[in-house]
Amino acid sequence: MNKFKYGVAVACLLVSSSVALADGKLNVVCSTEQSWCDLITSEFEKETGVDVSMIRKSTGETLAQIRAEAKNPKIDIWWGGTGDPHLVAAEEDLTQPSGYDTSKLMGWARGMANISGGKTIGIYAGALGIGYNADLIAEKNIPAPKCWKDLADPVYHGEVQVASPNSSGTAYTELATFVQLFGEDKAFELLGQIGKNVNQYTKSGSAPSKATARGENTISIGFMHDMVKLATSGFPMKIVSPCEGTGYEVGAVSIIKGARNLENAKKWVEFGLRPKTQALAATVNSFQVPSHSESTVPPESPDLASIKLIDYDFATYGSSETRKRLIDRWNKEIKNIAK
Amino acid sequence: MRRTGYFWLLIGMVALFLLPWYAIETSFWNFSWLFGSKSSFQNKSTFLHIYNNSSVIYAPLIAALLIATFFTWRLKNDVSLAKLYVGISIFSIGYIIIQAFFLDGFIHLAIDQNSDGFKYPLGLGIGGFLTCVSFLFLLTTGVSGLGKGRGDAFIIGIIGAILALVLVFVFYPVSQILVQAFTGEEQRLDIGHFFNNFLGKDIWSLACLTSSNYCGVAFNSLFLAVMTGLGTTILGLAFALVITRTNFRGKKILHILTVVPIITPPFVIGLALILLFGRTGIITDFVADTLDISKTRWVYGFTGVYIAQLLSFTPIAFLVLVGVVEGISPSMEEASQTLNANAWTTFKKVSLPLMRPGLANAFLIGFIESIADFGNPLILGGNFSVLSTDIYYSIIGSSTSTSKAGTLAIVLLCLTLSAFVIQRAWLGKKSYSTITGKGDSGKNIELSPKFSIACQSITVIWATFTFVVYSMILFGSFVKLWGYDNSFTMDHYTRSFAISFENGINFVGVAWDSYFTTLIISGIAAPLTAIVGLATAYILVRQRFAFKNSFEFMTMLSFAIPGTVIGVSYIMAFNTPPIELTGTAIILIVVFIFRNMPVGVRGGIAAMSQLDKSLDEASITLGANSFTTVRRVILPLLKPAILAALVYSFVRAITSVSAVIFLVSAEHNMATSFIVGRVENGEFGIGIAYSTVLIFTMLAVILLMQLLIGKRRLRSK
Amino acid sequence: MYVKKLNGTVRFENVVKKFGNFTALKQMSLTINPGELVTLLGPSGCGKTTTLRLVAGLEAPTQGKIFIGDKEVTHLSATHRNVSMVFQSYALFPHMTILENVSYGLDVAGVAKVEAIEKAREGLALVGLIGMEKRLPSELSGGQQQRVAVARAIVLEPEVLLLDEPLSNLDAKLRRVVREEIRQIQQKLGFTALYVTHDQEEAMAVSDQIIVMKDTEIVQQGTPRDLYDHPNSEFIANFIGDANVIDCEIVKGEQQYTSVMINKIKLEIDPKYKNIANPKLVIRPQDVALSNKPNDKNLHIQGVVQYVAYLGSHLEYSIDTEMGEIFVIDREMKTFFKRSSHVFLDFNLKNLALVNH
Repeated sequence: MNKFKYGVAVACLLVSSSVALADGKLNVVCSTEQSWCDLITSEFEKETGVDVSMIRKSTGETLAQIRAEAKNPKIDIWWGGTGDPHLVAAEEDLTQPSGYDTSKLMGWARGMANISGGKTIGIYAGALGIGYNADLIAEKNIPAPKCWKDLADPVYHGEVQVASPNSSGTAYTELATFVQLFGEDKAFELLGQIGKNVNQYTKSGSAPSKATARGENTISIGFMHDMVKLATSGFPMKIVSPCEGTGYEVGAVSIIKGARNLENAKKWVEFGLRPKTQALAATVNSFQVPSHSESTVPPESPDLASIKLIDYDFATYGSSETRKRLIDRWNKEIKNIAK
Repeated sequence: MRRTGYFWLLIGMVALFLLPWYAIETSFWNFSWLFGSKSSFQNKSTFLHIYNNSSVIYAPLIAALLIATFFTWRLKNDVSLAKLYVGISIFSIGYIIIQAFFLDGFIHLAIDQNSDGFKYPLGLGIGGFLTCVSFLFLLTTGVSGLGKGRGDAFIIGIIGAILALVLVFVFYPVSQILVQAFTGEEQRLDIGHFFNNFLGKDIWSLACLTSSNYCGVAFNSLFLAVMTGLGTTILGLAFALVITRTNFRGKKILHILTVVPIITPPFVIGLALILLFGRTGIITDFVADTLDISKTRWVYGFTGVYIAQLLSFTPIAFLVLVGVVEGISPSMEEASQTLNANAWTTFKKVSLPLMRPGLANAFLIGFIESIADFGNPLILGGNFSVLSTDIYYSIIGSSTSTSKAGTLAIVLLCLTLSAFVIQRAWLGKKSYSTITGKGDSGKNIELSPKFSIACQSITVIWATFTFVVYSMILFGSFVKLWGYDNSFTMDHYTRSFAISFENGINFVGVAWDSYFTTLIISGIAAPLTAIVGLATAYILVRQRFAFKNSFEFMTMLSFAIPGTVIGVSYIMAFNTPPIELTGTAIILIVVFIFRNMPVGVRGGIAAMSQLDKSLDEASITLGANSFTTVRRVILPLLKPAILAALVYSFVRAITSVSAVIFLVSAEHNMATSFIVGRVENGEFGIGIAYSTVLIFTMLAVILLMQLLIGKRRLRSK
Repeated sequence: MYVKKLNGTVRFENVVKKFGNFTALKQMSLTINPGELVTLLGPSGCGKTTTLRLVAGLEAPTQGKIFIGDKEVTHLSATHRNVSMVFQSYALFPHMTILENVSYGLDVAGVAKVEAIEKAREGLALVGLIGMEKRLPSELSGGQQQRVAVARAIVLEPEVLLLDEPLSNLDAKLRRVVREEIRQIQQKLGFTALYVTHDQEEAMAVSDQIIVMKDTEIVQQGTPRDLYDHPNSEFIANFIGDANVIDCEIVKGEQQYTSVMINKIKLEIDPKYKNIANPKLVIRPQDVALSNKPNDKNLHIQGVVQYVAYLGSHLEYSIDTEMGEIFVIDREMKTFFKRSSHVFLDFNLKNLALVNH
C-alpha cells in the first residue's frame, strides 16, 4: 500500500507544469513548407530576439485547431498556407486585424486584406496549372496537354488525377477557377467530361502532382510552384500553364484573436512582408510569387506575368455559401463519374 | 482504514492549503506561489488567498477536510466512519466539479484578462488536482471500509482511480465530439439533422454490389475491418504456432520480422508498397513485361489498403496470440491424445477452442485497428473511401463540418460496439483457464505434419514479403530520389542526424529535437500505459462490480475512434479549464496512455483468463495483500502480456500520427509529425532516413525491454 | 516443528450468502472447537465450499457474523485473517520453486529470509519432501504437489487450516496415504482444521466432527460414529456409509421397545425412536446375518440371492426379500451363498434405527 501511495504522490508532482507564456515569446503555426518555416523563424529570432515557438501544420489542421481553441487560444500567429481557410477564420471571427499598411503590396494581396477587414494579408501567390510526366507521355505516345479543355480528350482515359474539392482546398480553387473561366454550367459540363478520364480523386491537393512525378499517374492538376519543386528535385515533371488562363491561390498571414503576444505577432507580420524576407523563400526552394511589390521574383517561379491569370473573385468564391453550393453540385454531378 | 484515511486527509490539507489551486504561469519550482504576494490571482496557494481575503470558494472544502479529520480521530465505529468518508468525498468532488465548470466563470474569480479585454479562463493546478485525488482515495477507502470488494482498499482504490481516469480522459473528451453530431447549424441541438446525416446514402449505400457506383463508407470500412481482422488473426496464429510449436530453424529471424511492421512509422509501408506494386512499381513492371500486359493502378483501392493493413497489424495479433498459445496446458492436449485423437484433431478440438479468448481478442484488435487506420487508406485508398479518412477530412477538409465528423464517429463506434458484443457472445461464459495451480509438466504437442508445413509456408512467404518491403525502405534511405534516381547518398542521414563536435557535442541535425522529445515522451508513456492497461484487465477479470460491461466498453472507446477525432476532442476538452493541458507534454503522454491502453487491456484479459483464480486466492490466504499478490504472483505470470503491452505502447507512441498531429506543439514536436511534414513536402529521403533510424531505435529498445523483463518460467527446459 | 497454541474456534452466527438472486448459503450457524478437524461433507452444490471461502475471507457474507477465535472477522479481508487454505487445484505458484512456494507466506509476513527458509524446510520435512526444494511444481507428481500445498499452508501456523477437496486430484491409493498424513500432521501440531469433501469415507477417516450439508443447509453435525449410528434423516443414513432404508409403520402401545411393521413383519427396536412421525427403518448391511435355516426367534424373513461379490475381506450380497432389496455385507464368511440360493435373514436389532422421512 505504501509504495502505491508514493507512486501516486510522485505522479501528482509530475502534473505540475503549465504553458509558459512569458514576455518576449511568440507562438507560430506555420503552413508553408518546412524549410521556409525554419528559415523565417530563425531570421525573425535573430533580428528581434523574441523567443519563437514554431510548429508546422497544414492549413486544414491549423483551422481545426484554431476553432477548437477559440475560447483559450494558444497560437499567436498563423503564417502561410492557402488563403481560403484564412478567410474562413476571418469570417468566423477567429483572427484579428494586424493594422499593417498594405499600400505597397500587390493587388491580390491587398484584396485579401480588404475582404477580411485587415484580418488576413496575402504573402505570396501561386497559380494553378497542369503537370505531366514527360516519360509516360513519351512512352504512351500521346500528346502533351496544353489547355484545360484538352484534358477531356478520351486519349487521356485513366491518365488524369485531380484532388477532391470535398477535402482539398487546391481542388476547390480549381473548381472555382473553372466556374469563373467557363461559367457555371459549362464548367460542370467540362468537369464531367474530364471526369471520365480521372483515375482517382485524391484527398490531398498535392497528391496528384506527387503521383505524377513518380510515374504513378500521367497528368495532374495542382499548384505550379509545387510542380516546380518536384521538377527541380529531379523528377521528369513538365508544367503547363493552360491556354484558357488560370486561377491562383494567395497564401496569407493572420493574427489569432486573443493572441497572448500581440505585439510580437504584429512584428512578425511586418517582418514577414518585407521584400528582404520574402526574397529568402527562394533559397529554400519555395517558388511562390511574393506579395510585396518591391520583392524580387525568383527566376524559377512560374512567372505570373506570362501566365494568363483570371481576375479571381475571392469575395464571392471565398464565401462559405458559394463554396457549399459548388461542392454539393460537384458531389451530385461529378464525383461518381470517375472510375 | 484510519491510517489510510489520515494519509489522504493529510495530502488533501497540503494540497488545499499550501499548493496553488490554479495552474501557474511561472515555474513551479521557484515557489513564489507559496511565499510571494505580487503574483496574479492564479499563482497563489489557498493560504495566500485566505490571507488576501478571497477564500470564499474554498470554505466548503476546508470544512469537509476538517470534519473528516475530526471524526477519524473521534469516531470509534469503523462502519460509521466509512459512511462519513463516502458522504464527504462525494460532496467535495461534486463541489469541485461545480466550482470548476460554473462558479469560477460565474463569479469571475478565476479569469485573467489581457490588455484588449480577451478573457482567459484558468485551469486547475497542482493544488486542485491533488485535492481531487485525495478525496477520490478517501472515497475508495470509505467504500472498502463498508465491506465492498471484500474490504480490500487496494483493489477499490484501483477501481476508483481507473474509473476516474477513464471518465476524465476518455469519456469526457469523446462525449465532446459526439455531442457535435447532434448539433445542427447555429449550434443548436438538432436530432433530425443527426438522423438525416446518420442514415445518409453516402454512409450506408450498397450500390457497389449492383452497379458501378460506390458503396457507402460504413460498408467499405466494415468489409475491410472484418477481412483485416480475420487475415491478421490467421497470420498471427500461424506465426505463433510456428514459433512455439515447431522446430523451424529461422525462428529468431521470424520473430524479429514479425515485430518490424509495428515499429514502422506511418506512410512508410504505404510508400514501399507503391514502389513495389504501383503502376511503375518493380513487381508490376516485372509482371507486365513478362506477361506482356499493360501496367495498371491495381494496387490503389481495397487491395492496397488490405495488404498494407495485413502487414501493419499482423504483428499485434501475433503478440496477443503467442502468449496464449504458449499458455495452453500440455496435459489437456495430452488428455486428448490419450483419447486417441491425432495431432490435428487435438489441435482442432482442444487447443483451438482453448485459444478462443486469444483469437477473439486478436480479431477484435485487428478489426478496430483497421477501422481506425488512417495512414494506409490515405496513401493507397484510391477511390475506396473509409470512415476514418472521411472523418479526418470532414474536420480539416475544405468544406468542414464537425457535425458530420461526429456523425461518422458515431457510425464507427456502432460498428466497433457490434464487434465487441459479437466477440463477447462468441466467447460466452466458458472457462478458458489453463494455467492452474497444479504444476503442469509435459510438452505441448507438435502440430500435425501437414498443418505444420502449411503454417511454415504461410509464415515464410509472409516473412519474405515483409523482408522485401523493409529492404526497400532501407534502400530508399540511401538513394537520392527513391524510385527515380537511385544513386547512393548519405545526405538524408547527415541532414537529419548530424552531430558536430566543435565546442563539445552539438546535435545539429534537423531531426534531433523531435527525436529526443519522442523518445522521452514515449518512454514515460509506455510504462504508464502498461500499468493502467493491465490494472484495468486485472479488475475486469478478477473483480465483480456493477456496470462492468459498460466500463469495459468505455475503456475501448478511445482506441476505437480514429486518432484524428481523439486529437480534436482532446483539444476541445483540455484546452479550456478546468483541465488545461494543450501545449504541454502531459497531453501527449495522456493521449498515448488512453489510446494504447486498450491493447494492454485486451492482452491482459486474454492472459489473465488463463490464470486460475485460486492462485490469487492462495496468495491472499497466505497473508499477502492484493498489492503483493499482484507483484509476486500475477505479474511474473503475466510477463508475456506485460512485454506486449510495454512494447506496443512504446512503439505506438512513437509511430502514431493522426491523434498527435493536433496535439503537438512547438516545444513538444513528435517524430511522426516531423516525418509527415517532410513527406508532404516531397522530401521522401529525409522521411525515410528518419523512419529507418526510428525503426532501429525501437528494435534496440524492445530488445532491452525483453532483457529487463525476462521470460516467464513455467516448465523447466 | 514448533507450533504456537493458536488454534482457534470458528463460529458462524446466522450467516447468509447470496450471489445476486442465487442463494449459496441459507441461514447457517455453527461452531468449530479448537484443535478439531471438522469436515464439511455434502454433494456438490450444497454450499460447503462457499462456507470454506467465507471462513477464508474470499467471500463476504450477505448477512450474519463470522468469528475466528474471539475476534469478529466478518469484514476483515482474507489477507488479515490468520487462516490458510489448501486448494483443490493446489494453486502452487508455477513460476516459483518448491522452497519459494512454501516460504512465500512467511516472506510476505516479513519473516527474515534465513528464518523463513529454515521454517519452510521444516515444513517440507514434515511432508517428506526434503531434497526437492529447487524443483518447480511442474516437476513433481500429483501427490508431491499436494504435500507442497499442505506444507505451504501449515508453515504459517494458522489458527485454522482450510482444505478444499485436497485429495480429489489423487488416485485412490495415494488418497488414503495423504489423508492419513494430513490427519497425523493435524493431530501432531494440534491446529483447527476445516476440511471440505464430498467423499464420506474420507470424511469418516479424518474427522473429529462431520458437518453434513445439503441444499445450502446443515443437515446434521456430529462425530463420525454419531452420524453413522444415529442418522437423523434418510439422507444422512444413505450418505454416511451404506444403508438399507425401508418404509415402515410404528405399532402403538409398546413401552419397552419400539415396534415397527414392515409389510407383515414386525421388528422390535430401541424405544427412543417411538415418537417419530414418518418413520423409515435403517438397516446397515453388516447388521444382517444370513443363514440357510430360519432362526429360533420366530422371524421368518426369506430371500433369494440376486448378486454376490467376493472382495477379499468380505462378501457383498444383494438379497431380494418381501421387504424389498436388501444389501448385506458378510465379514465372517462362514458360508458362501451362490446366486439364486434361498436364504433366511436375521437382523442385529439393537443396531437398527428409525429416521424421519
